[in-house]
Amino acid sequence: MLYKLAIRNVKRSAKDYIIYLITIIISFALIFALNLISTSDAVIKLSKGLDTFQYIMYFINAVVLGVICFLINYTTKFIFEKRSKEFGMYLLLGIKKRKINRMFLLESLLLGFAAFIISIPIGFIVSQFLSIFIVKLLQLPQAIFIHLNLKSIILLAIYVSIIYLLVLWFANKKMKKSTINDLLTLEKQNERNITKSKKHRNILFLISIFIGIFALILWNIKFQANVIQDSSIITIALGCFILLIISIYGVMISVGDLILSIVLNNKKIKYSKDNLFIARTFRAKAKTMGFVLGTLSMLITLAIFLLNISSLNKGAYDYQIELDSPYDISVADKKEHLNDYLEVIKEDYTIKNHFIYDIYKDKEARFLKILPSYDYTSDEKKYDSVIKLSDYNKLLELRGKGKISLNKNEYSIIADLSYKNDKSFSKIKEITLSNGIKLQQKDFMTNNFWVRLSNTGYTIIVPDEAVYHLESAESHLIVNTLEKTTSALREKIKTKLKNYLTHIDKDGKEVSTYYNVMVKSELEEETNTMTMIISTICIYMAFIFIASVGTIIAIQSLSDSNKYKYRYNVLSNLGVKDEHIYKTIKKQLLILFGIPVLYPIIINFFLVYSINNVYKIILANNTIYLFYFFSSLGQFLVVYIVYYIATYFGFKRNIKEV
Amino acid sequence: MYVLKIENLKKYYGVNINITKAVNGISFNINEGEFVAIMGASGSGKTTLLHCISTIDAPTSGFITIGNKDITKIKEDELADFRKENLGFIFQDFNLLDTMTIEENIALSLIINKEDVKEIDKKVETIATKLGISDILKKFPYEVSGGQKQRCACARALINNPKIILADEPTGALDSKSSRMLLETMEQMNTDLNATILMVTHDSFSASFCNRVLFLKDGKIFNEIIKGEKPRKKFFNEIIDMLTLLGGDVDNVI
Repeated sequence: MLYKLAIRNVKRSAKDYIIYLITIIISFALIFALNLISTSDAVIKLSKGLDTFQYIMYFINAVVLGVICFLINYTTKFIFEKRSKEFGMYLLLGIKKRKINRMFLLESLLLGFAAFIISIPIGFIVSQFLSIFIVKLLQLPQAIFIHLNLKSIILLAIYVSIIYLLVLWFANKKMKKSTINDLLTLEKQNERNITKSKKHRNILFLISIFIGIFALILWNIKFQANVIQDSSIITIALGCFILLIISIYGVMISVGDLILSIVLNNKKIKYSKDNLFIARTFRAKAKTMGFVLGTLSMLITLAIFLLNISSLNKGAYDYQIELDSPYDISVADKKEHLNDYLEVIKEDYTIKNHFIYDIYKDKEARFLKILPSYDYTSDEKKYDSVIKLSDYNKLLELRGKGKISLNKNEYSIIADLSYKNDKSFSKIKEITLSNGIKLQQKDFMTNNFWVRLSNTGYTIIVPDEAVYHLESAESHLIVNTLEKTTSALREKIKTKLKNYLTHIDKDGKEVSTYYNVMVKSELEEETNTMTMIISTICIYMAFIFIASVGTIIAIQSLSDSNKYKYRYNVLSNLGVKDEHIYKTIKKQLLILFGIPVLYPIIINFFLVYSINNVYKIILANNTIYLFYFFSSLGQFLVVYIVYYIATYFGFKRNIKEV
Repeated sequence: MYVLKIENLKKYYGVNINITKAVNGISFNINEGEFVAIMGASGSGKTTLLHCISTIDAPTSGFITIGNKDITKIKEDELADFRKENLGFIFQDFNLLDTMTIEENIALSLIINKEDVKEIDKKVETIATKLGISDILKKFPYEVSGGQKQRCACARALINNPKIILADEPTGALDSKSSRMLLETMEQMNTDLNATILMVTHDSFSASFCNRVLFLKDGKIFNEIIKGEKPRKKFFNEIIDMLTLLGGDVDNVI
């Protein structure tokens, strides 16, 4: 009978907790899918760096499991409280605590086991989609089939068991501690009210905000261009995060109540539209759910932050590829060798266009001399790189950019973004090249579109005639092909033209200069693997976090909808139309979903703003981080809003039910 | 032959100086086949007393003997068995399980006791007929009226022949017609089935159906009146007089 009862209760709760069930099924399915992929030999062989993916996944899964554990534990606790009266009744009827406990555990396990079983086929399907995604991202010729493996199933089973062991242990402890009296009245108790008085609340709010601002300022101070050399950054960043988490909890515990007091104390706001009803409805929640709201806010902050990291990283990698290799193939070598490279490329590819240009030496080295690296530079390399205006313009044209112009006695200098704050270059107004020609500075540009334009970080652009008598430093070949190149091309060039790319130095050692050959697709493959790993991990974690938050709010609201049914009936009897009631519900849910999101958005904006201090060098421009920030926010909202809508319809259904 | 014997029962709440003496030294007996009401104003200790008797709450000191057992000395684990065999409960808000039909709700304690299925069916049938709810046995609690729910709760309390039935404001959530029907049912349970009933109420009309009424004030027994052979109406008036003496308000009277 006990088991029959348990199954019947599961059936009933399945209807009430459908959102929760779907969330844990998706979560388990995602864990399973990523396990399948990270343990699939076919995938690991694909690309360098993918084998580390497997090990990173173990760590990431630990974090994800923690969050899922929180979700399941919260929900189990919640279901327990909702049904405590029923348990009290069982106790009164003479069922032993042990038996009731066993029944409740059995119910939770049945739910978990059902989710586990369902998640396996779903996870399997998801893994196939992910493999298609990987194949597309790495531009592989054929699809890979991810095989089901026992190891992943066992791993998932272990994860699920760990979660449930923990959750059931908590539930068991709670059950053992509570007396019949507790059980019979538990439903009526609220969660603990943390702030005792108004004054405490206001002080808590102010201190929390202050801690938050302090953490963000500290973060901003630390995240400057020289962050990479700063070894204390990890400690400081961690400290900032801890402070922010404290601040989030403090704010969330106090802010709901604070806003409500303001609304309720202002008659003009209070009595306009349905504000009064909504405010009063929300008040109980805000006062007593503070701690949970804090946790939700923290998870949202992390989720948005992870999405931002994913976007920023992708942006940085994409831009880096553009900077490193804007053309399909580029080679720097002696002029007489370049035709041989072209021949090798022609064997497999149709050439769309190609271009050869020279970099000249200005041995006066006016610019190199003012750099600290001048003293370490060997004598043969003590020169400034010079390019002809027509060559430079041709390169720009091939990139689809506008030309620049120079007068006969003018020069411009193009440098990497890292020279941006270096004022010394722009101070050198007049230069005399080693052939005696005098030129005036027209522009100092730091928007270099290709780091390998020359082999130094900056290049002087001069009118064509000005290179007269200057010695050539090296020749460059750039090629665009009609077909998409693959990394095999670089390997082919390396083997076929080995004698050009290696030489024996004075000590008799072989020195290779393979770095002089760049093939864009090879770079793309390498960086795509990294971006893929980072993006997958970030999006995966973010999704689990958002889903957990959405579920907890949804369950809270839906189980309350039964209580609200009465209140909305009263409204309806007072003559409020149905559409108006729905509008009120929408608003009420919007507040519940919205309040935990606001502070995280503000925090994330400032976090990303500070990170941009460092990232702007490797991003396409100074303000593109805003685009990434808003797109991450968009990604977050898409998932979050799905939960909002689902909750709204569930709520509506519950209220309509007679 | 008493069923329930209470000796110098005390139940204090709170710590240090801030102590509430909810029950402060109560002693009385209830004999087999009695129908006793406990009355008193809010805060007089009625519900605390009932909670102590029903093992929901543990007393601070004193003895409660049901049958031959002192329930204050029974271990937590054995209490469940004790409740199952000796106590029946009726609550103000019914406390029926809405996942089960009325029939299943009534049979629940027998099912837990693992009695023979045929035997269970027969017992449920007999009790349901006596309480006039045999036609709603297949329905779920949310499909029937409040009065029917409470009669179902009565049936559940009666089914395993408990030594005593404890009722906490059983008419509290019912309208006057349903209340009267329920009280008549309980009277019938008492006379026909020889059930011993202890009922906590603040409603004099409900109390007038009992054989004996105990009045509580500030955690102590203030007085006791016995119905004897008096007609109900006279007994009812006596109760009201006593309440007036107690300082209870007449508003409670229907």
